[in-house]
Amino acid sequence: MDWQAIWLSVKLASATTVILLILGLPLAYWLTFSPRRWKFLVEALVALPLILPPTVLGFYILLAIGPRSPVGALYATLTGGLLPFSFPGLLIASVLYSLPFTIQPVAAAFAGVDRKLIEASWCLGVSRAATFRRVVVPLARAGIAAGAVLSFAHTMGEFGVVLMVGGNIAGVTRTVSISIYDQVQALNYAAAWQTSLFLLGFSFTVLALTYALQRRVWALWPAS
Amino acid sequence: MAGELICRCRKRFPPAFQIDADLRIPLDAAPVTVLFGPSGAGKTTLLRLIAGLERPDTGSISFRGREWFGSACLAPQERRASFLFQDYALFPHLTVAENVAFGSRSRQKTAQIVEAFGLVEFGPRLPRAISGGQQQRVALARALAADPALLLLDEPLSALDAGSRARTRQELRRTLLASSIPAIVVTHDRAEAIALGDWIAVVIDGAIRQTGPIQDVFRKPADPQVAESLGVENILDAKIVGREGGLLTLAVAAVQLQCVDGGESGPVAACIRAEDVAVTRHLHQASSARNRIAGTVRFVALEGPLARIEIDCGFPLVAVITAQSAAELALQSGDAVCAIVKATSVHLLLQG
Repeated sequence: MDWQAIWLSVKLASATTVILLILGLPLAYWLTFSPRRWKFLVEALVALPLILPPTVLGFYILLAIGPRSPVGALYATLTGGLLPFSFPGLLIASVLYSLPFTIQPVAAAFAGVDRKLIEASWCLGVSRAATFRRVVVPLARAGIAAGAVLSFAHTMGEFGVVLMVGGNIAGVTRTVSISIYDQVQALNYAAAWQTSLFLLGFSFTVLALTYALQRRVWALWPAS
Repeated sequence: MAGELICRCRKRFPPAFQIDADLRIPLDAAPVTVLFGPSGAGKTTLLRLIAGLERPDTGSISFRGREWFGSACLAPQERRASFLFQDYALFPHLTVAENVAFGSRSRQKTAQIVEAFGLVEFGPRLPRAISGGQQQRVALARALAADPALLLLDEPLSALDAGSRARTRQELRRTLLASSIPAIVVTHDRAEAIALGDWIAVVIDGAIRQTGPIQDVFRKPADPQVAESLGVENILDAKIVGREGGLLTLAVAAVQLQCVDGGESGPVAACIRAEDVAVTRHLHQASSARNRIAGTVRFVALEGPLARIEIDCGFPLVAVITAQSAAELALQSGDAVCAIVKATSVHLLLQG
Protein backbone atom coordinates (compact mmCIF):
# COMPACT_ATOMS: atom_id res chain seq x y z
CA MET A 1 0.00 0.00 0.00
CA ASP A 2 1.23 3.50 -0.82
CA TRP A 3 1.57 4.89 2.70
CA GLN A 4 3.30 7.98 1.40
CA ALA A 5 0.26 8.88 -0.71
CA ILE A 6 -2.11 8.13 2.17
CA TRP A 7 -0.14 10.35 4.51
CA LEU A 8 -0.07 13.14 1.92
CA SER A 9 -3.83 12.91 1.48
CA VAL A 10 -4.43 13.05 5.23
CA LYS A 11 -2.13 16.07 5.49
CA LEU A 12 -3.87 17.81 2.58
CA ALA A 13 -7.36 17.02 3.89
CA SER A 14 -6.51 18.21 7.43
CA ALA A 15 -4.99 21.47 6.24
CA THR A 16 -7.89 22.06 3.85
CA THR A 17 -10.44 21.47 6.62
CA VAL A 18 -8.73 23.86 9.03
CA ILE A 19 -8.49 26.61 6.41
CA LEU A 20 -12.10 26.02 5.35
CA LEU A 21 -13.34 26.35 8.93
CA ILE A 22 -11.45 29.63 9.36
CA LEU A 23 -12.73 31.06 6.06
CA GLY A 24 -16.03 29.24 5.86
CA LEU A 25 -17.60 30.17 9.21
CA PRO A 26 -17.57 33.95 8.63
CA LEU A 27 -18.58 33.47 4.98
CA ALA A 28 -21.48 31.19 5.95
CA TYR A 29 -22.52 33.71 8.61
CA TRP A 30 -22.52 36.48 6.05
CA LEU A 31 -24.48 34.36 3.56
CA THR A 32 -27.05 33.47 6.22
CA PHE A 33 -27.63 36.85 7.84
CA SER A 34 -26.67 39.52 5.32
CA PRO A 35 -29.61 41.55 4.04
CA ARG A 36 -27.77 42.26 0.74
CA ARG A 37 -29.87 41.51 -2.30
CA TRP A 38 -26.97 40.41 -4.47
CA LYS A 39 -25.77 37.72 -2.09
CA PHE A 40 -27.36 35.05 -4.32
CA LEU A 41 -24.47 35.71 -6.71
CA VAL A 42 -21.99 34.77 -3.98
CA GLU A 43 -24.09 31.73 -3.13
CA ALA A 44 -23.97 30.59 -6.76
CA LEU A 45 -20.22 31.19 -6.90
CA VAL A 46 -19.61 29.16 -3.73
CA ALA A 47 -21.75 26.28 -5.03
CA LEU A 48 -20.04 26.16 -8.45
CA PRO A 49 -17.53 23.40 -7.53
CA LEU A 50 -20.50 21.08 -6.92
CA ILE A 51 -21.41 20.97 -10.61
CA LEU A 52 -18.36 22.23 -12.48
CA PRO A 53 -16.20 19.39 -13.92
CA PRO A 54 -13.02 19.13 -11.81
CA THR A 55 -10.97 19.57 -14.97
CA VAL A 56 -12.58 22.95 -15.68
CA LEU A 57 -12.07 24.11 -12.11
CA GLY A 58 -8.54 22.74 -12.13
CA PHE A 59 -7.75 24.48 -15.40
CA TYR A 60 -8.83 27.89 -14.11
CA ILE A 61 -7.02 27.41 -10.81
CA LEU A 62 -3.89 26.42 -12.71
CA LEU A 63 -4.10 29.67 -14.71
CA ALA A 64 -4.91 31.70 -11.60
CA ILE A 65 -1.93 30.50 -9.60
CA GLY A 66 0.53 30.19 -12.50
CA PRO A 67 3.76 32.21 -12.43
CA ARG A 68 2.30 34.83 -14.80
CA SER A 69 -0.75 35.46 -12.59
CA PRO A 70 -0.62 38.08 -9.79
CA VAL A 71 -1.07 35.37 -7.14
CA GLY A 72 1.67 33.18 -8.60
CA ALA A 73 4.01 36.15 -9.08
CA LEU A 74 3.52 37.29 -5.48
CA TYR A 75 4.14 33.75 -4.24
CA ALA A 76 7.29 33.53 -6.34
CA THR A 77 8.71 36.78 -4.95
CA LEU A 78 7.86 35.79 -1.38
CA THR A 79 9.11 32.19 -1.44
CA GLY A 80 11.06 31.81 -4.64
CA GLY A 81 8.92 28.80 -5.56
CA LEU A 82 6.04 28.11 -7.89
CA LEU A 83 2.48 27.22 -6.90
CA PRO A 84 1.47 24.74 -9.64
CA PHE A 85 2.59 21.17 -9.02
CA SER A 86 3.41 22.00 -5.36
CA PHE A 87 1.69 21.17 -2.08
CA PRO A 88 0.62 24.80 -1.35
CA GLY A 89 -0.87 25.02 -4.85
CA LEU A 90 -2.75 21.81 -4.22
CA LEU A 91 -3.99 23.24 -0.94
CA ILE A 92 -5.44 26.34 -2.62
CA ALA A 93 -7.20 24.14 -5.17
CA SER A 94 -8.59 21.83 -2.48
CA VAL A 95 -9.94 24.73 -0.44
CA LEU A 96 -11.82 26.13 -3.42
CA TYR A 97 -13.02 22.70 -4.50
CA SER A 98 -14.39 21.75 -1.06
CA LEU A 99 -15.78 25.18 -0.18
CA PRO A 100 -19.47 24.25 -0.75
CA PHE A 101 -19.07 21.15 1.41
CA THR A 102 -18.25 23.39 4.36
CA ILE A 103 -20.48 26.35 3.56
CA GLN A 104 -23.74 24.54 2.91
CA PRO A 105 -24.13 22.52 6.13
CA VAL A 106 -22.74 25.38 8.22
CA ALA A 107 -25.02 27.97 6.63
CA ALA A 108 -28.00 25.63 7.12
CA ALA A 109 -27.06 25.24 10.79
CA PHE A 110 -26.68 29.02 11.22
CA ALA A 111 -30.07 29.57 9.65
CA GLY A 112 -31.49 27.11 12.18
CA VAL A 113 -30.30 29.20 15.14
CA ASP A 114 -33.25 31.10 16.60
CA ARG A 115 -32.82 34.73 15.56
CA LYS A 116 -34.18 35.86 18.94
CA LEU A 117 -31.22 34.28 20.74
CA ILE A 118 -28.84 36.41 18.69
CA GLU A 119 -30.91 39.52 19.31
CA ALA A 120 -31.14 38.75 23.02
CA SER A 121 -27.36 38.59 23.16
CA TRP A 122 -26.97 41.92 21.34
CA CYS A 123 -29.44 43.57 23.71
CA LEU A 124 -27.40 42.27 26.65
CA GLY A 125 -24.54 44.40 25.33
CA VAL A 126 -22.56 41.52 23.80
CA SER A 127 -20.84 42.45 20.52
CA ARG A 128 -21.65 40.83 17.20
CA ALA A 129 -18.35 38.96 17.11
CA ALA A 130 -18.74 37.66 20.67
CA THR A 131 -22.36 36.71 19.98
CA PHE A 132 -21.17 34.72 16.97
CA ARG A 133 -18.59 32.93 19.10
CA ARG A 134 -20.75 32.40 22.21
CA VAL A 135 -24.20 31.78 20.75
CA VAL A 136 -24.19 31.04 17.01
CA VAL A 137 -21.21 28.68 16.81
CA PRO A 138 -22.10 26.53 19.85
CA LEU A 139 -25.70 26.16 18.66
CA ALA A 140 -24.56 25.28 15.13
CA ARG A 141 -21.89 22.82 16.23
CA ALA A 142 -23.60 19.80 14.69
CA GLY A 143 -23.68 21.53 11.30
CA ILE A 144 -20.10 22.75 11.68
CA ALA A 145 -18.94 19.23 12.54
CA ALA A 146 -20.81 17.89 9.50
CA GLY A 147 -19.21 20.53 7.28
CA ALA A 148 -15.73 19.73 8.57
CA VAL A 149 -16.12 15.99 8.10
CA LEU A 150 -17.60 16.34 4.63
CA SER A 151 -14.81 18.69 3.56
CA PHE A 152 -12.18 16.32 4.97
CA ALA A 153 -13.68 13.26 3.30
CA HIS A 154 -14.23 15.10 0.04
CA THR A 155 -10.59 16.25 -0.06
CA MET A 156 -9.38 12.73 0.77
CA GLY A 157 -11.11 11.45 -2.36
CA GLU A 158 -10.52 14.27 -4.83
CA PHE A 159 -8.91 13.34 -8.10
CA GLY A 160 -9.51 15.58 -11.11
CA VAL A 161 -8.55 18.90 -9.59
CA VAL A 162 -5.47 17.36 -7.96
CA LEU A 163 -4.34 15.91 -11.24
CA MET A 164 -4.81 19.22 -13.07
CA VAL A 165 -3.14 21.42 -10.47
CA GLY A 166 -0.71 19.10 -8.73
CA GLY A 167 0.16 16.47 -11.26
CA ASN A 168 1.65 13.26 -9.97
CA ILE A 169 4.82 13.83 -7.95
CA ALA A 170 5.49 11.20 -5.29
CA GLY A 171 5.53 12.69 -1.79
CA VAL A 172 4.56 16.15 -3.05
CA THR A 173 1.28 15.91 -4.96
CA ARG A 174 0.57 12.21 -5.43
CA THR A 175 -2.52 11.77 -3.26
CA VAL A 176 -4.17 8.46 -2.52
CA SER A 177 -6.68 8.57 -5.38
CA ILE A 178 -3.93 9.33 -7.88
CA SER A 179 -1.89 6.53 -6.41
CA ILE A 180 -4.77 4.12 -7.06
CA TYR A 181 -5.07 5.40 -10.64
CA ASP A 182 -1.32 4.79 -11.08
CA GLN A 183 -1.58 1.29 -9.68
CA VAL A 184 -4.42 0.39 -12.03
CA GLN A 185 -2.57 1.87 -15.00
CA ALA A 186 0.42 -0.30 -14.06
CA LEU A 187 -1.94 -3.31 -13.82
CA ASN A 188 -0.92 -3.66 -10.15
CA TYR A 189 -4.44 -4.74 -9.13
CA ALA A 190 -3.37 -6.16 -5.74
CA ALA A 191 -2.05 -2.78 -4.59
CA ALA A 192 -5.09 -0.96 -6.04
CA TRP A 193 -7.32 -3.37 -4.13
CA GLN A 194 -5.57 -2.66 -0.85
CA THR A 195 -5.52 1.12 -1.21
CA SER A 196 -9.13 1.26 -2.41
CA LEU A 197 -10.29 -0.91 0.43
CA PHE A 198 -8.42 1.30 2.87
CA LEU A 199 -10.08 4.42 1.45
CA LEU A 200 -13.50 2.75 1.51
CA GLY A 201 -13.09 1.65 5.13
CA PHE A 202 -11.74 5.03 6.16
CA SER A 203 -14.58 6.99 4.52
CA PHE A 204 -17.26 4.75 5.99
CA THR A 205 -15.77 4.94 9.50
CA VAL A 206 -15.50 8.73 9.41
CA LEU A 207 -19.08 9.16 8.23
CA ALA A 208 -20.44 6.61 10.71
CA LEU A 209 -18.61 8.38 13.55
CA THR A 210 -20.01 11.73 12.46
CA TYR A 211 -23.57 10.49 12.42
CA ALA A 212 -23.13 8.82 15.80
CA LEU A 213 -21.64 12.00 17.24
CA GLN A 214 -24.43 14.14 15.84
CA ARG A 215 -27.04 11.92 17.37
CA ARG A 216 -25.47 12.45 20.78
CA VAL A 217 -25.21 16.19 20.21
CA TRP A 218 -28.86 16.30 19.26
CA ALA A 219 -29.89 14.26 22.24
CA LEU A 220 -28.23 16.79 24.52
CA TRP A 221 -29.46 19.90 22.72
CA PRO A 222 -32.56 19.19 20.69
CA ALA A 223 -33.10 21.63 17.85
CA SER A 224 -35.28 24.37 19.29
CA MET B 1 -35.23 66.59 27.83
CA ALA B 2 -33.44 64.62 30.45
CA GLY B 3 -35.29 61.81 32.14
CA GLU B 4 -37.44 61.06 29.14
CA LEU B 5 -37.69 58.49 26.43
CA ILE B 6 -38.84 60.21 23.27
CA CYS B 7 -39.70 58.06 20.29
CA ARG B 8 -41.03 59.82 17.22
CA CYS B 9 -40.63 57.55 14.30
CA ARG B 10 -42.24 55.96 11.33
CA LYS B 11 -41.64 52.62 9.68
CA ARG B 12 -43.53 51.06 6.82
CA PHE B 13 -44.17 47.35 6.54
CA PRO B 14 -45.41 46.77 3.01
CA PRO B 15 -48.04 46.26 1.89
CA ALA B 16 -50.42 47.76 4.41
CA PHE B 17 -49.02 48.23 7.90
CA GLN B 18 -47.12 51.13 9.28
CA ILE B 19 -45.85 52.28 12.64
CA ASP B 20 -46.28 55.98 13.17
CA ALA B 21 -45.37 56.53 16.78
CA ASP B 22 -45.17 59.65 18.85
CA LEU B 23 -44.30 58.49 22.31
CA ARG B 24 -42.88 60.37 25.24
CA ILE B 25 -42.33 58.59 28.55
CA PRO B 26 -41.30 60.44 31.72
CA LEU B 27 -38.92 57.76 32.98
CA ASP B 28 -38.53 59.07 36.50
CA ALA B 29 -42.24 59.63 37.14
CA ALA B 30 -43.20 56.30 35.61
CA PRO B 31 -41.03 53.34 36.66
CA VAL B 32 -43.17 50.95 34.63
CA THR B 33 -44.84 51.97 31.39
CA VAL B 34 -47.31 49.67 29.70
CA LEU B 35 -47.67 49.57 25.93
CA PHE B 36 -51.25 48.46 25.66
CA GLY B 37 -53.30 47.55 22.63
CA PRO B 38 -54.96 44.78 20.69
CA SER B 39 -52.93 42.04 18.98
CA GLY B 40 -51.34 43.22 15.77
CA ALA B 41 -51.36 46.87 16.82
CA GLY B 42 -47.59 47.10 16.53
CA LYS B 43 -46.61 47.01 20.20
CA THR B 44 -43.80 44.51 19.76
CA THR B 45 -42.48 46.31 16.70
CA LEU B 46 -42.40 49.55 18.69
CA LEU B 47 -40.41 47.78 21.39
CA ARG B 48 -37.98 46.46 18.76
CA LEU B 49 -37.56 49.95 17.33
CA ILE B 50 -36.66 51.25 20.78
CA ALA B 51 -34.24 48.36 21.37
CA GLY B 52 -32.50 48.99 18.05
CA LEU B 53 -33.52 45.64 16.58
CA GLU B 54 -35.52 47.42 13.88
CA ARG B 55 -34.53 50.61 12.13
CA PRO B 56 -37.15 53.32 11.59
CA ASP B 57 -37.56 54.78 8.09
CA THR B 58 -37.60 58.28 9.51
CA GLY B 59 -37.80 59.96 12.88
CA SER B 60 -35.77 60.08 16.05
CA ILE B 61 -35.43 58.20 19.30
CA SER B 62 -33.69 59.65 22.32
CA PHE B 63 -33.21 58.36 25.82
CA ARG B 64 -32.39 60.69 28.73
CA GLY B 65 -31.18 63.31 26.26
CA ARG B 66 -28.93 60.92 24.36
CA GLU B 67 -29.78 60.31 20.73
CA TRP B 68 -30.39 56.62 19.97
CA PHE B 69 -31.64 57.14 16.47
CA GLY B 70 -31.59 60.24 14.34
CA SER B 71 -28.52 61.47 12.54
CA ALA B 72 -26.92 58.13 13.44
CA CYS B 73 -28.28 54.78 14.57
CA LEU B 74 -26.89 53.30 17.77
CA ALA B 75 -26.52 49.52 17.79
CA PRO B 76 -28.52 47.55 20.40
CA GLN B 77 -25.25 46.99 22.29
CA GLU B 78 -24.75 50.73 22.74
CA ARG B 79 -28.32 51.40 23.84
CA ARG B 80 -28.22 48.81 26.58
CA ALA B 81 -31.94 48.25 26.47
CA SER B 82 -32.35 44.67 27.66
CA PHE B 83 -35.08 42.92 25.74
CA LEU B 84 -37.13 40.22 27.41
CA PHE B 85 -38.66 38.11 24.67
CA GLN B 86 -42.11 36.60 24.90
CA ASP B 87 -40.67 33.08 25.04
CA TYR B 88 -37.66 34.35 27.07
CA ALA B 89 -35.03 33.31 24.46
CA LEU B 90 -32.80 31.67 27.05
CA PHE B 91 -29.62 30.23 25.56
CA PRO B 92 -30.40 26.50 25.39
CA HIS B 93 -26.75 25.42 25.40
CA LEU B 94 -25.90 27.31 28.60
CA THR B 95 -26.88 26.53 32.18
CA VAL B 96 -29.09 28.82 34.22
CA ALA B 97 -26.03 30.33 35.91
CA GLU B 98 -24.27 30.88 32.58
CA ASN B 99 -27.40 32.46 31.15
CA VAL B 100 -27.62 34.98 34.00
CA ALA B 101 -23.90 35.77 33.74
CA PHE B 102 -24.02 36.12 29.94
CA GLY B 103 -24.05 39.92 29.63
CA SER B 104 -22.80 40.71 33.11
CA ARG B 105 -19.51 42.46 33.75
CA SER B 106 -19.37 41.80 37.47
CA ARG B 107 -19.26 38.35 38.96
CA GLN B 108 -20.30 39.72 42.31
CA LYS B 109 -23.38 41.37 40.88
CA THR B 110 -24.33 38.19 39.01
CA ALA B 111 -24.03 36.17 42.21
CA GLN B 112 -26.21 38.70 44.05
CA ILE B 113 -28.89 38.53 41.37
CA VAL B 114 -28.85 34.72 41.21
CA GLU B 115 -29.31 34.74 44.98
CA ALA B 116 -32.03 37.41 44.98
CA PHE B 117 -34.01 35.61 42.28
CA GLY B 118 -33.84 32.33 44.18
CA LEU B 119 -31.99 30.64 41.34
CA VAL B 120 -29.03 29.22 43.28
CA GLU B 121 -30.33 25.65 43.27
CA PHE B 122 -31.13 25.82 39.53
CA GLY B 123 -27.69 27.20 38.60
CA PRO B 124 -26.26 24.05 37.00
CA ARG B 125 -29.45 23.10 35.14
CA LEU B 126 -30.22 23.75 31.50
CA PRO B 127 -33.14 26.11 30.77
CA ARG B 128 -35.34 23.35 29.35
CA ALA B 129 -35.09 21.46 32.64
CA ILE B 130 -36.88 24.17 34.65
CA SER B 131 -40.49 25.36 34.68
CA GLY B 132 -41.92 28.28 32.70
CA GLY B 133 -42.11 30.50 35.77
CA GLN B 134 -38.50 29.76 36.60
CA GLN B 135 -37.48 30.45 33.00
CA GLN B 136 -39.17 33.82 33.26
CA ARG B 137 -37.16 34.59 36.39
CA VAL B 138 -33.94 33.52 34.68
CA ALA B 139 -34.69 35.78 31.71
CA LEU B 140 -35.37 38.73 33.99
CA ALA B 141 -32.27 38.00 36.07
CA ARG B 142 -30.19 37.78 32.90
CA ALA B 143 -31.56 41.11 31.69
CA LEU B 144 -30.87 42.86 35.00
CA ALA B 145 -27.39 41.36 35.41
CA ALA B 146 -26.33 43.07 32.17
CA ASP B 147 -26.79 46.40 33.94
CA PRO B 148 -29.26 47.84 31.42
CA ALA B 149 -30.38 51.45 31.08
CA LEU B 150 -33.87 50.34 30.15
CA LEU B 151 -35.83 47.10 30.34
CA LEU B 152 -38.13 46.11 27.49
CA LEU B 153 -40.55 43.28 28.26
CA ASP B 154 -42.63 41.73 25.48
CA GLU B 155 -45.72 40.04 26.95
CA PRO B 156 -43.62 38.76 29.86
CA LEU B 157 -46.40 36.64 31.38
CA SER B 158 -48.10 35.24 28.30
CA ALA B 159 -46.05 32.02 28.28
CA LEU B 160 -47.23 31.14 31.80
CA ASP B 161 -50.38 29.26 32.73
CA ALA B 162 -53.26 31.26 34.16
CA GLY B 163 -52.61 30.21 37.75
CA SER B 164 -49.02 31.31 38.02
CA ARG B 165 -49.67 34.39 35.91
CA ALA B 166 -51.57 36.26 38.64
CA ARG B 167 -48.93 35.39 41.23
CA THR B 168 -46.02 36.26 38.96
CA ARG B 169 -47.64 39.60 38.10
CA GLN B 170 -47.17 40.93 41.62
CA GLU B 171 -43.70 39.48 41.84
CA LEU B 172 -42.73 41.07 38.52
CA ARG B 173 -44.02 44.48 39.61
CA ARG B 174 -42.03 44.28 42.84
CA THR B 175 -38.88 43.21 41.00
CA LEU B 176 -39.20 45.98 38.43
CA LEU B 177 -39.66 48.62 41.13
CA ALA B 178 -36.78 47.24 43.20
CA SER B 179 -34.42 47.28 40.23
CA SER B 180 -34.89 51.07 39.81
CA ILE B 181 -34.43 50.58 36.07
CA PRO B 182 -37.29 51.99 34.01
CA ALA B 183 -39.28 49.33 32.20
CA ILE B 184 -41.61 49.24 29.22
CA VAL B 185 -43.98 46.29 29.23
CA VAL B 186 -46.04 45.19 26.24
CA THR B 187 -49.37 43.59 27.05
CA HIS B 188 -52.85 43.19 25.65
CA ASP B 189 -54.27 42.07 28.99
CA ARG B 190 -56.13 44.73 30.91
CA ALA B 191 -55.63 43.20 34.36
CA GLU B 192 -51.93 42.82 33.62
CA ALA B 193 -51.66 46.43 32.50
CA ILE B 194 -53.32 47.71 35.66
CA ALA B 195 -51.31 45.43 37.92
CA LEU B 196 -47.94 46.24 36.37
CA GLY B 197 -48.01 49.78 35.08
CA ASP B 198 -47.74 53.33 36.38
CA TRP B 199 -48.02 54.89 32.96
CA ILE B 200 -49.78 53.62 29.89
CA ALA B 201 -49.51 54.21 26.16
CA VAL B 202 -52.41 52.88 24.11
CA VAL B 203 -51.32 51.57 20.71
CA ILE B 204 -53.89 51.07 17.96
CA ASP B 205 -53.05 50.42 14.29
CA GLY B 206 -49.42 51.36 14.73
CA ALA B 207 -50.11 54.73 16.36
CA ILE B 208 -49.96 55.94 19.95
CA ARG B 209 -53.49 57.04 20.66
CA GLN B 210 -53.27 58.10 24.29
CA THR B 211 -50.65 58.24 27.02
CA GLY B 212 -50.84 59.11 30.68
CA PRO B 213 -50.99 57.78 34.22
CA ILE B 214 -52.75 54.46 34.05
CA GLN B 215 -55.74 55.32 36.26
CA ASP B 216 -56.40 58.52 34.31
CA VAL B 217 -56.38 56.78 30.97
CA PHE B 218 -58.69 54.01 32.16
CA ARG B 219 -61.02 56.55 33.72
CA LYS B 220 -60.99 58.92 30.79
CA PRO B 221 -60.23 57.26 27.48
CA ALA B 222 -59.66 59.86 24.78
CA ASP B 223 -62.00 58.38 22.19
CA PRO B 224 -64.40 55.46 21.69
CA GLN B 225 -61.75 53.30 19.98
CA VAL B 226 -59.34 53.72 22.89
CA ALA B 227 -62.19 53.03 25.31
CA GLU B 228 -63.07 49.87 23.46
CA SER B 229 -59.47 48.65 23.42
CA LEU B 230 -59.19 49.36 27.14
CA GLY B 231 -62.19 47.12 27.68
CA VAL B 232 -64.65 49.79 28.80
CA GLU B 233 -67.76 47.64 28.41
CA ASN B 234 -70.42 50.26 27.90
CA ILE B 235 -69.86 52.76 25.11
CA LEU B 236 -73.25 54.21 24.27
CA ASP B 237 -74.22 56.60 21.50
CA ALA B 238 -75.79 59.60 23.20
CA LYS B 239 -77.28 62.98 22.43
CA ILE B 240 -77.06 65.98 24.76
CA VAL B 241 -80.62 67.09 25.39
CA GLY B 242 -80.28 69.30 28.45
CA ARG B 243 -77.79 71.31 30.46
CA GLU B 244 -78.57 72.56 33.96
CA GLY B 245 -76.78 73.17 37.25
CA GLY B 246 -73.50 71.64 36.14
CA LEU B 247 -75.21 68.51 34.93
CA LEU B 248 -75.88 67.36 31.41
CA THR B 249 -78.89 65.31 30.44
CA LEU B 250 -78.24 62.73 27.77
CA ALA B 251 -80.60 60.70 25.68
CA VAL B 252 -79.45 57.13 25.15
CA ALA B 253 -82.07 55.29 23.14
CA ALA B 254 -85.27 56.09 25.08
CA VAL B 255 -83.51 56.55 28.42
CA GLN B 256 -82.25 59.77 29.92
CA LEU B 257 -78.94 59.80 31.78
CA GLN B 258 -77.32 62.54 33.76
CA CYS B 259 -73.63 63.26 33.90
CA VAL B 260 -71.24 66.00 34.93
CA ASP B 261 -71.09 68.91 32.49
CA GLY B 262 -67.59 69.18 31.08
CA GLY B 263 -68.57 71.68 28.42
CA GLU B 264 -69.09 69.03 25.75
CA SER B 265 -71.36 69.58 22.79
CA GLY B 266 -72.27 67.80 19.59
CA PRO B 267 -72.50 64.05 19.16
CA VAL B 268 -71.00 62.16 22.09
CA ALA B 269 -70.53 58.65 23.41
CA ALA B 270 -71.26 57.86 27.04
CA CYS B 271 -68.72 55.50 28.59
CA ILE B 272 -69.61 53.58 31.69
CA ARG B 273 -67.28 50.98 33.14
CA ALA B 274 -69.12 47.80 34.03
CA GLU B 275 -67.69 47.98 37.56
CA ASP B 276 -69.46 51.32 38.02
CA VAL B 277 -72.91 49.89 37.40
CA ALA B 278 -74.79 48.70 40.51
CA VAL B 279 -77.82 46.44 40.30
CA THR B 280 -80.90 46.33 42.52
CA ARG B 281 -84.34 44.78 42.31
CA HIS B 282 -86.19 47.82 43.68
CA LEU B 283 -86.74 50.65 41.27
CA HIS B 284 -87.66 53.18 43.93
CA GLN B 285 -85.03 52.53 46.58
CA ALA B 286 -83.54 55.80 47.81
CA SER B 287 -79.97 56.46 46.67
CA SER B 288 -77.67 59.39 45.94
CA ALA B 289 -77.04 58.10 42.44
CA ARG B 290 -78.61 60.24 39.73
CA ASN B 291 -79.26 57.52 37.19
CA ARG B 292 -81.70 54.70 37.82
CA ILE B 293 -82.50 52.69 34.75
CA ALA B 294 -85.14 49.99 34.57
CA GLY B 295 -84.31 46.92 32.51
CA THR B 296 -84.48 43.19 32.11
CA VAL B 297 -81.64 40.77 32.83
CA ARG B 298 -80.47 39.17 29.55
CA PHE B 299 -77.95 36.82 31.08
CA VAL B 300 -75.69 36.31 34.08
CA ALA B 301 -72.18 34.92 33.57
CA LEU B 302 -69.94 33.98 36.47
CA GLU B 303 -66.29 34.91 36.02
CA GLY B 304 -64.51 33.65 39.10
CA PRO B 305 -65.33 35.96 42.03
CA LEU B 306 -67.25 38.31 39.73
CA ALA B 307 -70.54 38.11 37.90
CA ARG B 308 -71.10 39.81 34.60
CA ILE B 309 -74.68 40.82 33.98
CA GLU B 310 -76.08 42.08 30.75
CA ILE B 311 -79.19 44.18 31.19
CA ASP B 312 -81.54 45.24 28.41
CA CYS B 313 -82.47 48.85 29.12
CA GLY B 314 -83.52 49.62 25.56
CA PHE B 315 -79.79 49.42 24.95
CA PRO B 316 -77.47 46.73 26.31
CA LEU B 317 -75.80 47.69 29.58
CA VAL B 318 -73.13 45.49 31.16
CA ALA B 319 -72.65 45.43 34.92
CA VAL B 320 -69.96 43.61 36.84
CA ILE B 321 -70.79 42.87 40.48
CA THR B 322 -69.45 40.31 42.91
CA ALA B 323 -70.70 36.77 42.52
CA GLN B 324 -71.93 37.00 46.11
CA SER B 325 -74.17 39.99 45.36
CA ALA B 326 -75.48 38.23 42.28
CA ALA B 327 -76.35 35.21 44.41
CA GLU B 328 -78.05 37.35 47.09
CA LEU B 329 -80.16 39.06 44.45
CA ALA B 330 -80.87 35.63 42.91
CA LEU B 331 -80.62 37.17 39.48
CA GLN B 332 -81.85 35.15 36.53
CA SER B 333 -82.41 36.08 32.95
CA GLY B 334 -85.79 37.67 32.41
CA ASP B 335 -85.85 39.34 35.86
CA ALA B 336 -86.81 42.99 36.06
CA VAL B 337 -84.06 44.99 37.72
CA CYS B 338 -82.81 48.51 38.15
CA ALA B 339 -79.32 49.58 37.10
CA ILE B 340 -77.80 52.39 39.15
CA VAL B 341 -75.07 54.63 37.77
CA LYS B 342 -73.66 57.71 39.46
CA ALA B 343 -73.51 60.80 37.28
CA THR B 344 -69.76 60.99 37.96
CA SER B 345 -69.29 57.51 36.49
CA VAL B 346 -70.64 58.53 33.09
CA HIS B 347 -67.72 59.74 31.05
CA LEU B 348 -68.34 61.56 27.81
CA LEU B 349 -66.28 61.11 24.66
CA LEU B 350 -66.69 63.38 21.69
CA GLN B 351 -67.58 61.42 18.59
CA GLY B 352 -65.28 62.26 15.71
